Amino acid sequence: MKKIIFPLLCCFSLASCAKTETVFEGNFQSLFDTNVSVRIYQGSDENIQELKGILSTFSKETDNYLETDVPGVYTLNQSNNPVTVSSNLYKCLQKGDEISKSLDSYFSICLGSLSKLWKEKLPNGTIPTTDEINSELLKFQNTSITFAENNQVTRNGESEIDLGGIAKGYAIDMCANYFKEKQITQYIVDTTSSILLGEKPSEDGNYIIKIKALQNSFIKAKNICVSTSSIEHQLYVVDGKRYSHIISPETGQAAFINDTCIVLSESGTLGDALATSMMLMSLPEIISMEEEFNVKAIVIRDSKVIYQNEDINIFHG
Amino acid sequence: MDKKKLRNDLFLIIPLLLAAVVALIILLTRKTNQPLVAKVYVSDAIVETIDLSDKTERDYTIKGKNGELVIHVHDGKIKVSKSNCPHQDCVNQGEVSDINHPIICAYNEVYIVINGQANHDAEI
Repeated sequence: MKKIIFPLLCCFSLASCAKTETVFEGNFQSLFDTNVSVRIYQGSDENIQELKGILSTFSKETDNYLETDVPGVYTLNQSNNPVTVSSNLYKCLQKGDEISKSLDSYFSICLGSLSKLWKEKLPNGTIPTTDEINSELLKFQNTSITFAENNQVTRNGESEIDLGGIAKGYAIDMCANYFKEKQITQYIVDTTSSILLGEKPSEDGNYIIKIKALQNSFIKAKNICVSTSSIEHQLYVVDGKRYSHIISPETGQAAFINDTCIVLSESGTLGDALATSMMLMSLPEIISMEEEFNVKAIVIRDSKVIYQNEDINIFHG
Repeated sequence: MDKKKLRNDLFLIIPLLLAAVVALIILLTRKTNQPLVAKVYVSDAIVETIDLSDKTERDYTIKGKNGELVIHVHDGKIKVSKSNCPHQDCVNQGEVSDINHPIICAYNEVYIVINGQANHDAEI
């Protein structure tokens, strides 16, 4: 009898344990001009609230359009005076400056003024004049950022800082550090264009990510950052020519070669910057970047995959 | 005597075993049959969870940051039928029944999102 009762009890225990996973979720509106969602399968609501606080502050700090109650990019853009910022923003600016230097003619965090110029013109169906672009390009070329002790940052020059290309990527890196510190391994943070994936409490631990630029196409991934840059919702046609929100630091043009670039990397900040840069790159340049930075990419043009890293499997549902 | 004892044991064991197997099957398949629900957030906090698999026609009054909204649920679809917001974008959005189309009323900081239907975890 005991021989039968024991397996039965095990069976009941198994049944009661199965799928009793706990999920804590948060949807934070209007952070980084989008909706940020966080889902964790371990920890507590307290973790969600702590992350909300961290992300909310960082979103304010990186805003270059609105004055907020914390010193940040907006403050830096008002003058060339030194500004003491938070350690998170300091590190983000440092990382952004470092990436800008290594990606040289494809990406910069000092393109704020040129970006604003294009954003003012394109929605009205116009484009900046060559003189306007050249004037802003000159300002950009003469702008730099210096970093001093005690989180002091100075913008030197007239072009504005714009962290739009890496803010969400850095935000998910902050989340990754938080999860590591709290020993949380099962999570997903979705900032729309940058997604942080931990492990999913499923058989293989993979999350399924739908590729919006393709029909019924998905990738599976875990323990990685997925970043994308796309012309979707950011495409303008003026006099038959297509323009996007991506500004070339080399020409000052709001140009693009590829329609969507998806980058899988260990760093959200780097992934974001590379996804943006790859929009301006030819395929050989993209492949070279993949090798240099140890990332994996998918490149889409006209709703077709024109390149995918051999380690990425796109499946159709 | 032993035979009788064994038969009595089996009468007890077999229903228990069946119950365990049924419970296991239900629990293992529970997630895939997850009902479609709409979660209503006000200023990032969930204030209402609405079961959309319940086809009954009904209204919910939600207190937003700057006033009230009326959410109407009918035949598995959800919409904002009334709002005091100036632009009425949330009302004009009409009925929504899939996870890819959240309803947002920025004026009242109300966000309605449908969960439970997706075959994927995120979109990029």
